[in-house]
Amino acid sequence: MELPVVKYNRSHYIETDTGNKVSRKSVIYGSQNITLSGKTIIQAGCVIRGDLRRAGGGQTLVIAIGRYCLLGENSVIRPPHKTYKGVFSYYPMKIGDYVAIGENSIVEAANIGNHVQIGKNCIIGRFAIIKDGCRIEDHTVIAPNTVIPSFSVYSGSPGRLVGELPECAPEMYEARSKEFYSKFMAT
Amino acid sequence: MSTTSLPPFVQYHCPCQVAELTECTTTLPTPDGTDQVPHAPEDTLAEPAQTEMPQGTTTPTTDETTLPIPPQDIDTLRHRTQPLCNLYFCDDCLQLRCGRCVSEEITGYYCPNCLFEVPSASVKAEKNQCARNCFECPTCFHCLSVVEDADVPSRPASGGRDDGTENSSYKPFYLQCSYCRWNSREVDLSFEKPTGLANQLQKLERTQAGQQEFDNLRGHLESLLRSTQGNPGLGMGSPHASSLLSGLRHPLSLGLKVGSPASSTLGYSPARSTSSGMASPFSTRSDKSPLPLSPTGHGDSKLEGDYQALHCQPSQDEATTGILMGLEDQGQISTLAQRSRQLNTPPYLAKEHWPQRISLRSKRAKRCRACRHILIKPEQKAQVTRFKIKLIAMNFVPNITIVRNPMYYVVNHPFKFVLRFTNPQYHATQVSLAIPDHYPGRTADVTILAPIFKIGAYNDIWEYELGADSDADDDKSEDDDQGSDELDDALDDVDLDSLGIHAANNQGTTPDYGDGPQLVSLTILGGSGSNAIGSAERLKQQRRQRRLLSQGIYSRRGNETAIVCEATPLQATSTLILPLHVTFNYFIEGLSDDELSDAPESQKPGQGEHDLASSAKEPQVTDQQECSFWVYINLGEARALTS
Repeated sequence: MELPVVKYNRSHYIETDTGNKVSRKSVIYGSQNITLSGKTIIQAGCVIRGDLRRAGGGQTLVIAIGRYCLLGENSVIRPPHKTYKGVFSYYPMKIGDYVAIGENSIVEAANIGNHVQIGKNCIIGRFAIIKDGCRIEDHTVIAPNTVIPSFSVYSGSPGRLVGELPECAPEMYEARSKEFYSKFMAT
Repeated sequence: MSTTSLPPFVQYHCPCQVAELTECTTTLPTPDGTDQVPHAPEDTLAEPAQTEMPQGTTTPTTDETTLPIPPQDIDTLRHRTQPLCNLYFCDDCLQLRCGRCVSEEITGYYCPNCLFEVPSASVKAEKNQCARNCFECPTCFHCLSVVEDADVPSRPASGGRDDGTENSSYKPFYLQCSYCRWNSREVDLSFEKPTGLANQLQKLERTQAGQQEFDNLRGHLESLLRSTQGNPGLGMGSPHASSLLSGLRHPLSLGLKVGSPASSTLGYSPARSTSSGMASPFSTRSDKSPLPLSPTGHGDSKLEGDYQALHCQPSQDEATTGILMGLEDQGQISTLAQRSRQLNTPPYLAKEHWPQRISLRSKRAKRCRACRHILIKPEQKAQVTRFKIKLIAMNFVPNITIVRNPMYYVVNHPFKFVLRFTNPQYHATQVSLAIPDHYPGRTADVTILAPIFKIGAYNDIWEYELGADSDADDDKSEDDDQGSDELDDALDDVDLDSLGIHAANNQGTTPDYGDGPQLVSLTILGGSGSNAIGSAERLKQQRRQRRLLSQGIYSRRGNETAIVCEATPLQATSTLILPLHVTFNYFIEGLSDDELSDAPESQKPGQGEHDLASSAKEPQVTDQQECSFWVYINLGEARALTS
């Protein structure tokens, strides 16, 4: 079954030149430290904390999000933090292309690769690294510092390997992300 | 029949599931559109089928095909069929292949935590586990992290932080689980250095009785194997092999027997081993083994030359039972899952569990079992997701999706639904569909309004031009085919035509759903401007849409064609499942595309294909073949009309 067409009120979303669609009801802090590569949809209630930047000056990029991503409703994207050598600091977060994050999920990963699907109500712990082509099922808790290799399906609390994705998973997720974007239309 | 209603799906049938086949008289549609098409209304179907048909392609012939018995049970169906993404396509056999009809070969091992590629030579010696710094928590199986003891204050002799190495008895590093807060100090495990922990742990492991026993046994069997391999006639298939195996089995059974208190602790004697390289270190090490060994008698002299257990652990059931009886908190008992992760002797008490090294994962190549053709060949590197060879069905076979479907069907009422076929090939292809007239468990009468249709070639450019109407050439060519009278009529009365499109739309599909791509582009064009070009364009769109619908085609765009079907359920069911036989043309590509892209027109097969795909760069085709497969379509629920 194909994805249904999702209609939204044009006044509820801001569309950027590169095709990003950002809900006016999303909460974005420190937007100067956030980059969206294009065609990313940020839905209502989503919180992105670009203001939590590294201690000290210098590099300011906090959250980099790739193309055709979907940040679901009420999801929280927050850079990971730790105390290293007695200094508390936040560290930048990178999210690749074709990444879908389900509603109510909290993401504090260090790195999320391309073609990743994260379900609803998930918690992705601090400094988790999710490689390309993975699926995190709904209601999963990924513990801090977890490394998730490619083509894995993780589920449970703490999230553990429960299956493998077929070889065409990247194509599948790419097609789905594009389909969702093309069917997310203003009225 | 299951009572739960599942969302509609399309599942592909792999030909390996041929256990139950039934001879069904499926009449494949013929190109001349004479009869053969099951339940086709003559007026709408016969003529379009003629005009749609390209000249040069191989014509599908009427024949009887074997239909796999449609499973009545939805679970059985899901078991026997697969979604397209799980299937492979063998381009030698021209068949779909599923996970059950490919053979797998391991091409490489890697640690899922540190992503280190382990050379296959050392995998066995490392027991398929990561030999670096990756451990899993014995309680929650999360990966452990190395932590340095921050409070070293009880060391006044050397006040620094980095002094752990000076005093060898002091071990400041330990493992901690960041999820459940377990740490390795609970089992008195800490390390001197933060690196090479697996080696440090392995040293400890080697002193465990179970591990020693395993190494001992392995050494014995390997030496036994080596001594028998001196005979060149000893293959596994030869009659000697059975004697070899019995020789192996014999000492094993003895090994079990000497588990009784009568056996020897140090009874290993490498009498039959030609080289005692494996055996002797263990026999010597066991002398200073710190573990509590059972005090047992001396070895039986009769068994000399056979295997004898190095250690003997008498049954500790009573002691264990005593401990378990005295427990006050059930959290102290390990779960079955936790116990099964412990290597040698799974203890009942959770506090006795040790961290385990993380198991390796493998990258696997896949071959077709029928022709040994390689279907999947991954890259060697652990972090790379590319494949050297990747013959997945998604890149060959038309992808079928249900575009629109009523909420539910009503028995004995015809309902229309729309199927979209997406062509992944770089060539325009032709698809012919057939639904068997009679098969066991038939639940619906189905009419396919367009049993034969074309799908355009896949083109990378469409990826970047969303919503681009890609088959203008196709449109022109069809205009020529159709004749210009219809065009003139349409140009005469614009209003009628715009009404006509809506009428056709309503007639073709149920009116309650979202817009198809054609309608979307139509509204965009309509809104953009009322100038002459816009209206002419819109008119053309409308006319085209109407003509397509009259042929049973809902929309055609790029490499996608959506067709209209009609289903009349015969009985109420929660899952209305239809078998559908799909035949498509598979193009076997010849030489490099670029070299021969400007080859003479005459070499290209089928004028029809050329028309459809002339806008795309068409690779040289050496051959095309018909491939067919079955799909099962679940349309959802069919209700009996009660009122």
